[in-house]
This record gives sequence, C-alpha cells and structure tokens, in this order.
Amino acid sequence: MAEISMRNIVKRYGDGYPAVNDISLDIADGEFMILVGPSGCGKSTLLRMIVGLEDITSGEMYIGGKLVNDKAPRDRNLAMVFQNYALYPHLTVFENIAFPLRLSGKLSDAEIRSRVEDAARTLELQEHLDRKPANLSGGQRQRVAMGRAIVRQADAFLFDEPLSNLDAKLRGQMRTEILRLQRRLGVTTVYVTHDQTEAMTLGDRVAVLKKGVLQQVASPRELYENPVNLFVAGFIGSPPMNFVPARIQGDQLELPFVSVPLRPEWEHLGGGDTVFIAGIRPGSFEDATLVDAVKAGRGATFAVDVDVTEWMGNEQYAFVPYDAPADISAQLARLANDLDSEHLRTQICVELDPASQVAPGSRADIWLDTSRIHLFDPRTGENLTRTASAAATA
Amino acid sequence: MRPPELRLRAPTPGLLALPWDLPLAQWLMPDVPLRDVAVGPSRHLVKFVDCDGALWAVKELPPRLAVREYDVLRHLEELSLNAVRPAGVVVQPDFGTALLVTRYLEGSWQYRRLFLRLPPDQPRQRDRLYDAMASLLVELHRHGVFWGDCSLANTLFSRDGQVLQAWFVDAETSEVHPRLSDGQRELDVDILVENVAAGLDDIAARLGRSAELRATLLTEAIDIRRRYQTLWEILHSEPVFGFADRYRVEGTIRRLHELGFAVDEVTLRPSGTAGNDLRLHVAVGDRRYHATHLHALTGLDVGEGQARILLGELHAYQVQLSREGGEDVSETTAAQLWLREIALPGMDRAHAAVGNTGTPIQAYCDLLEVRWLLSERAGHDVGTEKALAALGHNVVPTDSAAKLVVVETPTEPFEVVFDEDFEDD
Repeated sequence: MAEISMRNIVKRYGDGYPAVNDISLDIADGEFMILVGPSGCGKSTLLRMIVGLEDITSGEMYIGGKLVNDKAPRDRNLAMVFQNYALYPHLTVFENIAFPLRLSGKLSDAEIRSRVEDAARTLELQEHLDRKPANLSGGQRQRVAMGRAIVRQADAFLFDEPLSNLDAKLRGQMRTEILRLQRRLGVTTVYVTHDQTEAMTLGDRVAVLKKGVLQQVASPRELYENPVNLFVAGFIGSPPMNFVPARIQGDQLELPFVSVPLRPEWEHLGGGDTVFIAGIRPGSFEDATLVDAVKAGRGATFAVDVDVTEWMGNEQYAFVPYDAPADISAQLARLANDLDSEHLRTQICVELDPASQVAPGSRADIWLDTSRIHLFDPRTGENLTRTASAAATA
Repeated sequence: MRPPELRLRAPTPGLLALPWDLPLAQWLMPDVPLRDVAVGPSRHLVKFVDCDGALWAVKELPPRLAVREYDVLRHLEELSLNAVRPAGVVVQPDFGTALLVTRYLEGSWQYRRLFLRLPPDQPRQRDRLYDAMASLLVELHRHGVFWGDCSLANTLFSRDGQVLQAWFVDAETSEVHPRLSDGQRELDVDILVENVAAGLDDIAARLGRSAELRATLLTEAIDIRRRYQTLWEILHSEPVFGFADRYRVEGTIRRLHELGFAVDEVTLRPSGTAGNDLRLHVAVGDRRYHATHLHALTGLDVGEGQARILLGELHAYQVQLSREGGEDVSETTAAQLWLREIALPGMDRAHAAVGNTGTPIQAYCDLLEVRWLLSERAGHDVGTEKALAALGHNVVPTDSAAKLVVVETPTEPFEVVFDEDFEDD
C-alpha cells in the first residue's frame, strides 16, 4: 500500500518566504499524479519534501499511512527515477540494473536474477541484457536507468522534470515509456514538470501550483473543461485560452467581436457595469461556412477581420485582433505575468479545420459555441460559470 | 550565421584563437592543438586542448546546463573548494550548444592509475583514496554544495604529503544551497557509495581479480559512509561542558587542528539543561591550518598534508638548534634557517632523485617519509643519503605514500597519456 498523503504542508525558508504554502493533497495507491506549474511555484520543493531531501516546516507527510516527516530518504522506500542516471559503462545492462541490489547485500543471487529479469521484461530489454551501455540507443539507456528504480520495488516512483534535458524526439519516446511502465506496474507515481502538455498526456490527475499554493487538482479533462480560476484556465491548454472582456447588458453577453444571447447559467451573475473576463478556447470557434444550420443555431455567428493565419497541417489557427478598454488591458497584462507568458495581446486565437479557406487579411465568418464560454471574476480570477455548471452536474 | 558568445576568464591568445564557431566534433588536429587524455567515458563530448602553457578541457553541453555548471564551478572557486577551475563558457547559437572550458588540474590523475601502476591489492593506498573522497564530500556539504553524482570517475586525485586530495570535476548535477538538509547529505553519500562501489568493481574485474577481492572492495566502498559520518560528526559535534570544565574546549580545538581544520570562532552558550552547563559550538574554517601556518613562517605555498610533514621537520630542527645553541630559538628564526639550510636544498635533491617527477615539495615530503620509515625499521636514523637512494629506486615500503610517486605524471606533463592495459570496449 503506498498512498501518499500531505496535510497542510508548509515550507518556509530562512527569510520566511513560504515556497510551499499550506498544501494538502492525497495521492491514491497506484495513481499517476502530476505536479505542474511555472517555475517557482513550489512543485519541486513539494516533491523533495516527499522524498526527504527538504525538511518540512510544518504539516504532516504520510506514506503508506505512516508519518514520515523525520525519516531519512533511504528509509522511505521511494525511488527517485533518473536521480543517478549515470550508467556504469563496463557493466552489462543486467549488471547495471542489478548493481544497487548487490550493494545492499540483502538479496541472494537468485532473487537478484529474478528481479532483474522481471524488470527487463517490463522494459522490453531482455535481448539487451548482455550488452554494454555504449552499444545502446539513448532511449534504451534511459530504460536501463528506469530498471534500476524498478528492481528496488519501491512504494512509489518520483520524477523531477526527467525529460527536460532530452532532445524533443527522445522526450516524446520517453514520455510514452514512462506512461507504459506506470500502467504495467501500477506503482504510485509523482511526476513534476513545468510543461503542461506533458502533464496533460501523462497524469491520472494533475495538481496545478502557483506560488506555493495549490490551485486545482483534477483529471486533465476536468482541468481543461472546468478550470477553477484564470490561472489554471490560462496555464492548461495549448494554444492557451483566449481572454476577452465581457459585459452583461440586458439579455445579451457583450464580447468585443460579437454579442450573444444570455444563457440561463449566466443569469445569476448580474449585469450593468460589471465587466467580466470571458475565457474561450481556440477550439470553441469554427469556420462558419463549415458549420451546418442546425449546429449554427446553437451558437453565434459573426464576421471578423482576420490578421494572420498559421497552417500546421492537422490544425489551423487564425488571429483576430479586437479593441479592449484600458482597465481590462491592465488585468490581462497581470495575468500574462502570472502565467509566465508573453504579454497577452488583444487578439483572439481561433482554431479552424485545416480544410478551412479563411485567408489572412480577409473578412471571415466565424461560429462560436457559446456553451463553452467561461466567465471569470476579474478581481479574484474565480471561474463564475464553473461554480454554476459544477453545481448543475453534481 | 550567429556568432558564438564568448565568456572567458583569461582571454589568452591560444584560447581566443580556437574555432569557437565550429561544433566540437569538428575540432581536429593539427588545426587545433588537441591532446589525448584518457579520462574514461563521459555523458558529453569532451576534448583536451593544449595552449597558452596549460591543458584545457572543453565539454559540449546544452547551453542551459553549461552556464549552470560554469556558475557552480565559479562558486566553488570563490569558496576555495577542491574543484577544477572554470575558464570560460562559449554559447554557440547556430548549433544550440555551448562549450564549457575548464582548466585541467596539473599533477592530478584518475583513480585507475592507482590500481594500474601499483601491485594489485593495496588496502593502505586505497584507504588514502577513500579518505580523500570522504573529505571532499564533507567539505562540499559544509559549504552547502550537493554533488548529485559523486563517483571515482568524476574525481581527480593529487598527492599531498602522506594523504591524497580529491578534486571535484563534474558539476553537471550539482546544486548550491545556503545549507544542506540531512536528507540531501544522506542521498549524496548514498550516490557516492554506489558509484564508488561500481568503479572499484570495474577495476577488480578488469584486473582479473578474485571474487574475494571484489567482495572486499564492495565492503570498503560501503565503509566510506562511516568515514564521512565520523568526520562530519567531529566537525559538527556540540559537546556540553560544565563551566568549570571549559578547559576541555582546548582539547576539542587541538583535535580539529590536528585534522587540519582552522577554527574561526568558538561560542559557549548555556545549554539549556540544569546547572551552569555550556554548549560548545565551533565555527570550523578551511582545512588549511598547517598550510596557513607554514606559509606565514616561510612563504611556502603547499598542500595541507605536505605542510603537516614539513612543520614537523621544522619543529624538530627548531629543537635541534635550541639544543645546539644552548638557548631557545624562536619558531620564526628556525623557520628561516630551516628553509635555507635544509628544505630548499633537500627539495632539489629529492626531486632529482625521483627523476623530476611531480613537485619538489612532494618529493621532499616523500624523502622525509622514507627516511622516517627506514629509520624506524633499522632502529636508528638512517640519514638522508640512504633515504635518497631508496627513494630514487622506488625501493620503499609498499604502504608508504612515497610509493605513489609511480602514479604521477611523467616529466612532460602534456605528453600523450595512455592508460596502458586499459582499453575501452
């Protein structure tokens, strides 16, 4: 049993700065949990506290139901995968994987052989057991490194940005390997990354952190479709969600490029002078000429001036500028800062079918799925429509 | 074409002229003055360049890692820790790579030399190796540096009197913190033990050694943890004394000095327990206590291990002078006389006796050691001549530090260095 449970974990450094600020998180046995967020958000610090590399200022850390705050890393039975990824060049793959076991002196030769062969099978390295690391590909070498972690039969695997130093191709390969491995072994895994794409493709659940505070922990789909606040909404998803000012006037929601009828779920938000931030994912738009009449009726169609387009083969993006009032621009600039992204320009990114013929510098008809509009409180960043819909589906 | 961005400590002509606009794989003789230095496999491409009177290691890395490593090495230099010195980092935007330049440590060698150039199975010599590594890790940890990949292959060794110094080479996985947690230190020691065990195991296998030796080496590697812990505890113990027993502080200080550690400051504070007990806290300084003292007396700049031996001889000479003169001779006076009459001539002769291998200081320390060992065996002082002869023919006790003269670099330090009997697959 290796569930990991964190209660009110705080890490404060000498100057009093809380790198991790009251985080509580439960990771189920066998779950693949991702910790993601921009640099400085505390994800690595949190991982290091799980491992025992950082002292916990306050709060409790439980592994397998036991309090481990004061336990040395060695005694927590966790495996930091890739921590020491130097392979011994003169040992065979078999001996490389077996070595830590031999060193511990606690296992017989037969037991070692059995564990190594099991690990080799899981990693599909059986044919390579007699080879030396120099004769292996980059991907195979990484798998040998994983083998070392597997044979220790740890209660959990921990990864700290393991792919950041790899080239893009190897990174993609290794991501698949790690996922496959976790599925086969069913070992509790905690994985830290700053890359939200990685987070979304690997995790059962993803914990989004910002400045030491847990923003939201949910499945990738839930984070994508129901982000709890502006930060999560803007951090998850690529290309990022569009943020535009919105105002409720009578029975309409006014966006800079179109006004749409007020949906029932927005009615409680009030109107008048309140300015909201509307969040709309690029995929919520479509080329209106490719939308049939029935579907068109369920959303809103409008005409815009297209600035530039980017054709990527399997998808296409159009960029549409709009005007924004000064106060909203300031808010958007602050949000861009929080998200570690470039200044959010006052333009929307629209994802189009690759077959769309929308041309840059032209006027185009765009359709918007209004059911996928999120409305955020500009002051608090809270997702106001999520609260409503979550309640609706609860 | 985007030009490379150069950051060099000492922009000497040879270094500047290197083809920084080419990928390292294309640096070839004779256009580039390369040297073949057998340092074992590395995660990245490394080449050695001989120019401006020194040997430089050039390593190709992703730019982010290279700059990081450069900063860590600079930090280690500021702290005067045993590490290779960074000479520069060059970012090559066209290739998305960077080249990290470090200065190769003169007079240093890789651990394999110890095993390849000595008769097999020399536990006393291995002892020196382990002590050196444990010492290095303690020093790094004391200064908040986490190594992350401590191994024999990542370390260079040099001779220092009767001990060895270990030098930190590869800072790729290192982290600098204000202080290390116990967990971090433990992990670093675990990594050291595993890597050292693997390195020794490799050597044993290559030398065709018995399973028994392999088992012994494994045990010795695991034992490094104890060496580390013992030293760490000595440096961090905070004993409690009664106020009346505060003279015992002197004993603690003396012990630290004997180990070579300077003491920066001592505080005695109420321990919080009953009575008037005080808790001693010692701020331990650099491990150059004897070296600093010898330098102050003689101007000689030597290693800590060497200084200890030389100071011993200096003090013996001081006693001799006092006896001969019938009155006390000050340490300062004795030092000047010793330097001129004994040490400098002695260094020249000893250095010549070993064919000018290594440094004169180390040769002289070896001479002193050999003379002492032979005298002990004979029951009387055998004198300098006999010791010189023994040293010259390397007919010295196998456990002596002097035996290690065989691992030092040959006369021309930048000759092509082959690790004979040691070919990579």
